[in-house]
Amino acid sequence: MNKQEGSSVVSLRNQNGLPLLEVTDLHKYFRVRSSGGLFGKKNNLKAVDGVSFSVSRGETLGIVGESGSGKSTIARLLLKIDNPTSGVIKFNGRKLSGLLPVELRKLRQHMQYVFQDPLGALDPRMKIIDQVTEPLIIHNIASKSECHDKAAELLRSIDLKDHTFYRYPHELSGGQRQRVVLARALIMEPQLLVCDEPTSALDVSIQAQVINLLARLRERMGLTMIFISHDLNIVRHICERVSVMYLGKVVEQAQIDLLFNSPAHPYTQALLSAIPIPEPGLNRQRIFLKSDPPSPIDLPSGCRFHTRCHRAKPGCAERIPELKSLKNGQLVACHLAHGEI
Amino acid sequence: MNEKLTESVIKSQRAPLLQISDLTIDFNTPTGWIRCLHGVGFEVYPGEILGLVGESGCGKSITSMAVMKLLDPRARIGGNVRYKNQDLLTLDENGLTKMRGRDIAMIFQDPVSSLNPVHTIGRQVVESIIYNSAIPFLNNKVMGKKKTEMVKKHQRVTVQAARIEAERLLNRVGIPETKQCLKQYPHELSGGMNQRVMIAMALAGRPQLLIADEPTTALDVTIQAQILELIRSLRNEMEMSIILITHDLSVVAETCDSMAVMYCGLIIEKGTVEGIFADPHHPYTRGLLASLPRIDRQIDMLLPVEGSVPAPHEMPRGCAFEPRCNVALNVCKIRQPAPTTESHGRSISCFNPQYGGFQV
Repeated sequence: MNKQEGSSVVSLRNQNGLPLLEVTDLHKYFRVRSSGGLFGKKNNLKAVDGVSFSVSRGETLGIVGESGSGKSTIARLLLKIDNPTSGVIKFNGRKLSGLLPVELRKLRQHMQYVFQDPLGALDPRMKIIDQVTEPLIIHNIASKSECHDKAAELLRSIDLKDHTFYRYPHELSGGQRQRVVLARALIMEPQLLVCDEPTSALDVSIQAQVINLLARLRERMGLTMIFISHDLNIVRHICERVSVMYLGKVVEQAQIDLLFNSPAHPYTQALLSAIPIPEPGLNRQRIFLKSDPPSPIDLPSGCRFHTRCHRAKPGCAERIPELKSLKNGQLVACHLAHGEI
Repeated sequence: MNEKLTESVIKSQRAPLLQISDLTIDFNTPTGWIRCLHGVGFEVYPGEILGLVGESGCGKSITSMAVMKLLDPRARIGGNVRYKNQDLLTLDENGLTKMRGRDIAMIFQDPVSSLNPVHTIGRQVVESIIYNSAIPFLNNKVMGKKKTEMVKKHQRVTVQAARIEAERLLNRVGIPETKQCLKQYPHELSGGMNQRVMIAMALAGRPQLLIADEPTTALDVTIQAQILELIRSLRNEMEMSIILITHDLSVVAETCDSMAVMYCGLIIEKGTVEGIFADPHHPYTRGLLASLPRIDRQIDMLLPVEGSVPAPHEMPRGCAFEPRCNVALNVCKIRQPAPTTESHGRSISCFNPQYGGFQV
């Protein structure tokens, strides 16, 4: 294991210039009946609407946003669990669309997914060790006994005791289960790990254990990670760059310190001010957003955020703001930040 | 410091609204009785927001369910729950019906499953208003057949009045178009709006104590901020006391006056929010605070509490936290520590409490 690990790190370094993942103008529309029940008119629900980003090797990109902003849809598109309506996803320079199923399966070895709910992600009738060896057997990588040794070594390295190997998922605690899900993703030694809310089902003390483990494994295996979360506290701790999403669009993207110290988009500002800080008596200035997010079927004109924005001006409802770079390299989609209104 | 001293002096002179002492709960399972609460005690003073924090399974919710007597009737409840010198645990069904909603109201974590999906919001809010104002009429045992018609007539008037009251309540909890909202069904509203409806229904009986069980866990942060602000402003306006049950220490820091930290069916530390966050004494409280990632500063390494919570049937003989504790003594393995009281209403259950030097 160690030897392979070493070689994979070397090969990663060699290709350092190229981004591992490149997403250009990604769209995903779902056809839904918005009103009138069974015979109502069908409308487009724009879950992801023109998202572009790239992730370089060894980097961790955070995607944050409220429920319904399209975070999880992006994750599913990246792994081709769903097909995009339009747009291009390139992994290692290869387009994901138009791949033959055989080719896709080969590529999937290098990209793995960690789900939010570990109990739902594991097979209730399979022993832990079998769940972790299954990917190796599916991809026909090693013989059965080798698989077993490899899985056992990995499980031990993430602090699971030998006696848990032959148990079933319901016999483990939430934190242990999430470790198993992690192990199952990592046994393939992937280059890209997509984590969709990996700790939101866990308690705080356990959450810290899993986050530390993720950070340690990322170092050791040279992982590139996409970390999807609604919890900005964790994102700040583990990510290097963040994309903030609102209703299917990226509204701001920046290096972690820039974003947290000088958020440029009004939505990011409101989001950061809404997060409680574990320190009493701070008396922070809080921005309260008006009302609820609008329906993704019936989107507001112009800037999607203008209906809730505390700084909105009349012009915001007319033109759609582009995601453009500020002087310091922060990407923002807001007319006000760019001084256009 | 002086301010706090006077505050605690005032507190000690006031009578608590709710006083829980030595509360135990046992559940009958196929393997025998299992104790889930091991003698919980705390007080809620008038106008105070108390945060009850702990990880899942520590007994926060069943404590509040015991107060409302909503637990399975086969559960064995011991100890004392006094609300304004009235023992809630010995109340009969009639007394409980009068108490619920009008003295103590409750809101739950998932508003969508707490509301009835086949009735309009209007009908549900009106129902809770009528229920809380006219219980004697609606009690089936009291009602004869002749009386029923009279009540119906009487009710027609009340429904009118209740509708107006419902609109006022929905308006108060910040629902923008109340008239339209009354005609809608729960699935047509967002999670935040549904939680507002739940709060409006809880306010219908003008309760003096509101128990909010994880009211914002299912909501987005921007909506959470709105709801917590609403809860705080209602406390100031109606002089309610609130028990806020949550697993989120940051929410406690920003919302509550005092807090109680629970672990494995015991309160291990309680006191004022300022006091505990400035200098947590119990190793578990320290561990929880150190394991929080923070948005306002960069931390190199989170310090998690290692291990996991023991199952209720595998509780250690001594202190429940001893297997995960990094400052455990020999005595911790043998005996359970009793709560010791310090100044400013602070109390800790630990043989080796830590003082000072806590820095996140």
